[in-house]
Amino acid sequence: MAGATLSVRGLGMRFEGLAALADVDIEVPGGQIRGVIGPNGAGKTTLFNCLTGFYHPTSGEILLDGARIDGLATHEVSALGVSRTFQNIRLFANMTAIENVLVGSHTHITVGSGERRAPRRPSGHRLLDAARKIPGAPRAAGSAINELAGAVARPPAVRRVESEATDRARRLLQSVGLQRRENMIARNLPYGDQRRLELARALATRPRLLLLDEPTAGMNPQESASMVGLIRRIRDEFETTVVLIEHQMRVVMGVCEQITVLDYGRRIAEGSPAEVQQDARVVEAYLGTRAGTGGGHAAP
Amino acid sequence: MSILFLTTPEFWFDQIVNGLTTGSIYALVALGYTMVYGVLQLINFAHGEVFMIGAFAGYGVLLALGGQDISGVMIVVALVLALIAAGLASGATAIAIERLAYRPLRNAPRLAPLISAIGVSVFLSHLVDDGFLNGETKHYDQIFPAGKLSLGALNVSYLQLFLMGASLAMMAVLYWIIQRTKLGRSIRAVAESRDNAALMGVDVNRAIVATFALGAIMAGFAGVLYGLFFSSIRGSMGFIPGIKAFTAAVLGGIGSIPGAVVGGYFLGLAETVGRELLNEIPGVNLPNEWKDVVAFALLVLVLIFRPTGIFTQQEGKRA
Repeated sequence: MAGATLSVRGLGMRFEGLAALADVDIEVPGGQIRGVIGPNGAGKTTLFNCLTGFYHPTSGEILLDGARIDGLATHEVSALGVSRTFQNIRLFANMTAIENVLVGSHTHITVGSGERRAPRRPSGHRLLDAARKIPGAPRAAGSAINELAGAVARPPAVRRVESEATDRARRLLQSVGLQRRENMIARNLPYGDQRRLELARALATRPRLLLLDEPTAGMNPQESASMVGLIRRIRDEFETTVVLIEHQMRVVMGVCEQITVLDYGRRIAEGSPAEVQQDARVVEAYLGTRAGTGGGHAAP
Repeated sequence: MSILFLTTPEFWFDQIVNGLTTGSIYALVALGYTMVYGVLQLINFAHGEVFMIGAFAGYGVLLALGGQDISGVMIVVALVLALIAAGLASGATAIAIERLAYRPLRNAPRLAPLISAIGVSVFLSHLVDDGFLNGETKHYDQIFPAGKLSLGALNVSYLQLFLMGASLAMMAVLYWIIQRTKLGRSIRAVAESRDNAALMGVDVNRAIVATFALGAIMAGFAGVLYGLFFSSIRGSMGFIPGIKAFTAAVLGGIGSIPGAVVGGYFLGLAETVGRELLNEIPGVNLPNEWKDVVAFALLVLVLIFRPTGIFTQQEGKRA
């Protein structure tokens, strides 16, 4: 199992007449590290918002291992194995590092039955089930009561699952190098550590598709280089597909196996880093006069 | 302040105990205001009626178990059953209110759910008063053993001891749920960022329902304690304690759980001890009813000068 295959077909997202995305096709094979680049306003973050169910696209479809995920609620998309980090870090600032990671594990701690859900393999059937739940009417009340009872009574099974989740959260913190920061409040962590924590939290949802929005933003060259190593290690260790938005060309060229270029909401090029760098449309739209310099941020 | 010696130490201890007793009730009810505000930024003005429903549920259970005739070990059983019934009734009421009156307005302008809340509040209090009771007042049977604990100048009735102890225990359990369980983490995550919590797989609706339910259970418990202590209950009984508890939540910084507790006790003390302190000024004689004036004057002053609460950092940190 090497991460989920992502297929985006004819994706369009309009905001009151403005087409933020138009007819975008992207195919990312399982386990690949894909870069998405493009000038500001090209639609990169809108694409991520569509992939996570935060926006519901106005046309086209999004498939994860062949099953539709567009139209599902955010927490359902998360449960199917799509996770992300943000350009401007969005941790739960008043929680400790380990609590942040534990929130990410929530879909995998099932209080009540005390059983962990099986690893997700989206079948059409499961997705149908998830889709049916969207109106989510009395179900939320029922499961909230169930969970309340579980939280108070805490049968041994619940305690076991919680302690397993805590162990796993510790391992995740360790794999991003934050083992000593477990009980620090997130907002007090140094900037680089906050980025790492956001990554650990994203991993806690057991993603099969990990979306990273400018993972090295605000980092110095050494920190960026170590983040590149971390992204590769995570792809291998956690068997996930990675799609990342990045402005630092050194990072894009160093870590991405394939690159998709967006401009004004359209896909204008796709290929290996070398191919993309040679592409005339890309040079014109994005790399501009900086073509081939391979360093630093694009013009803001 | 030599003037204080005009009244006896017993008198002041009584005032403090009374303040802490009513403060316990305010604190329990304030928790529901502050938690719901934390996740939805909504002032749930129907919360006072949720408290009233709990008081009636407890009353019904005590009546069914024999009312005045309950004695011996049955007192303990009856109290436990009354508290459970109140928690369930209040919880169910709050879940229904959330579903019917607030969720359809989740994305409406902020004024809409607030007005809806006031509507639910008026509806429930009149439903009980005019629909069921014909304006009648009911009275809790005084089943709790009379008598008091005396330590020098300090006198505390057993009922007051029970009330303060039970409140503390309930708040401790709530605090533990919020801080240490998965459910509590998901509530805190939603309070910090609804979108972000959903992205991490938290079922936001479920966390919101649980928040309402937890706050309502505390209010239901408070309703029973109120009935045991003040005896008379009616459909409109939730109004003043509800607004007092809201005041307590604002005093402590709305959205903050420890703030609601501190604010509750502070308000209880302010309106009893505070009023009596004012009475020490020569020529001032404020009767008991003035405690409401003290409480609401505090609310206005806090809203003007420290709208984020008097015990919080200026940013008004959330729970």
